[in-house]
Amino acid sequence: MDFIKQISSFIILLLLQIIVFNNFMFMGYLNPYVYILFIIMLPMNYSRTAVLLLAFAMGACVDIFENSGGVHTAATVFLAFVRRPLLQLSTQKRGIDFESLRIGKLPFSSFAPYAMLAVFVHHFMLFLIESYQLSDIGHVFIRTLASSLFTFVFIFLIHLWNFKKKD
Amino acid sequence: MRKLFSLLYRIRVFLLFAFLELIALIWISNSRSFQRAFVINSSNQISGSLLETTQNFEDYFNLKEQNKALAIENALLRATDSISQYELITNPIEKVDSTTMIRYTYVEGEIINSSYHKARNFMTINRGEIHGLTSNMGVISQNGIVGVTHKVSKHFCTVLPLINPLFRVSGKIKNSSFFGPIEWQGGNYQYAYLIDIPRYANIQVGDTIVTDSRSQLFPAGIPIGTIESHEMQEDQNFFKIKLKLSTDFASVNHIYVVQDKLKLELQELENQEPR
Repeated sequence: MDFIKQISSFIILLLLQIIVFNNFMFMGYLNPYVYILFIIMLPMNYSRTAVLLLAFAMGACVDIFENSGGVHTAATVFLAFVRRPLLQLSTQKRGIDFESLRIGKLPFSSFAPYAMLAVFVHHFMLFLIESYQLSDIGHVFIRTLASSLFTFVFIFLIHLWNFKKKD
Repeated sequence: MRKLFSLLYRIRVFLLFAFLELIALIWISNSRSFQRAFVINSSNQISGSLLETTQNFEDYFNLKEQNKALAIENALLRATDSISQYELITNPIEKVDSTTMIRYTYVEGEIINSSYHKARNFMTINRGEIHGLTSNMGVISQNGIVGVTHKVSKHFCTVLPLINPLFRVSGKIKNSSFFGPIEWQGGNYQYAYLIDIPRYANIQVGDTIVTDSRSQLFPAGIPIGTIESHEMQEDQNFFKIKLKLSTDFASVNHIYVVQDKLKLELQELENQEPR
C-alpha cells in the first residue's frame, strides 16, 4: 500500500514538474523545482540506499525531459544524501528516532525549516553545477535564493493541502 | 582483509552516493561537449511525444498571438510575391529561369520544448530525419536566426540555439564589410556580443547585424540583432558590440530549418584543400 502511494506521488510530482512547473519561468528566469518534495517527504524509515536510488531515478527523469544532462540528478542525489543531517539540524534534537518519525506529522515549526534547508541546498547545488564555474558564484547565489523562495511557496501550498486532507 | 570488508560495509551508503554522483557527473560532462553525442535527450521517442502533447495545449492558449504573427508574415510574403508587384521596367527580353537556381529551401516546424533561462539552453523541434533534416543545419524564425540543428531522430530534432555558449556564428554589420564572431556570454537571453570589430569601423547604435556570406549555415543577410551599445575590448584595438537579439527566445514558436543544396559541394571542395 505504501509502495503504491510512493510510486503514485513520484509520478504525479514528476508530471506536475514537466507539464506545469517547467513552463513557469517567472520573469523569464525563476523556475520552481517542486519535484524535490518527493525526496523531502519520503518516510525516514526507508533505508538510505533506497532513498539514494529513488532520488537518482527522479533526477534522471527530470533531466531527460528538461534536456539538462545530469544536473538535476547530481543535485537530487546530493539532497538525498544529506536529508537526515538536515532534519537533525532543523529540529535541533540529538538522536532522532528515524524509525518512528513521520514527516507528515511533524509540527509546522520543525517541517518548515527542514523543507527550507532542503530546498536551498538542492537549488544551490543545481545552479552551481549548471553554471559550471566558480566565478559566477554571486549570480548563482541570487538565483538560488529567488528560486528557493518560489519553490518553497509551492511546496508549502502542496503540504498544506495534504495536511487538510488527512484531518 | 576482514577489516577492509567491514569498513567497506560501514561506508556502503557513502559509496553508493559517490557512485551515483559519478554517473551524474559523467552524464553532465558528456552533454557539455558539442561533438560527443547525448546518450539521452529529448529527441527520444517517449519524451518527445509527451512534450509535443504539452506543446499542443500551450499552442491552444497562444493561438491568437501566433495567428497574428503568421498573418503579418503572410502579408509580408504576399507583398514580395510577383503578383503584387508592379513592373516599372518592362524588359523586352524574356527572363529565362535557368539563370538562377534555388539554393536554399526551408522546412517549416514548431518548437515543442525549449529553455532560455539557463546557462546552457536547448530546443527540440517536431521535425526530423523523415523531413530531410541532418545535424548542422541552420534554424531561423520570422525575425532572425535561432540556432543550428544538433541531434536528429526520426521525428524530432534538438536545436542548439544562439543562447548556448557552444553555438558559433559570424555576424556582419549590415551595409559594411566588418565581420566578427557572435558570442552569447550567459545571463540575459535577449543580448549577445559581436566581438573583434576593428576600432576604425563606423558603428552606430541601432544598426542591424546580419549573417555573413562566410556562414555555411545561413543564407547571407538574415538578421541576428541590432546594436545596443559598444565598448573597446581590453586590447584597445577592437570593439565589443552588445546586440539585442532579433529573435525573442521567450516567445519564438514557429521556425524554419534551412536546407542548403550546395552544402555538400562546398564541403567537398574545401576538404580538398590541405589544412
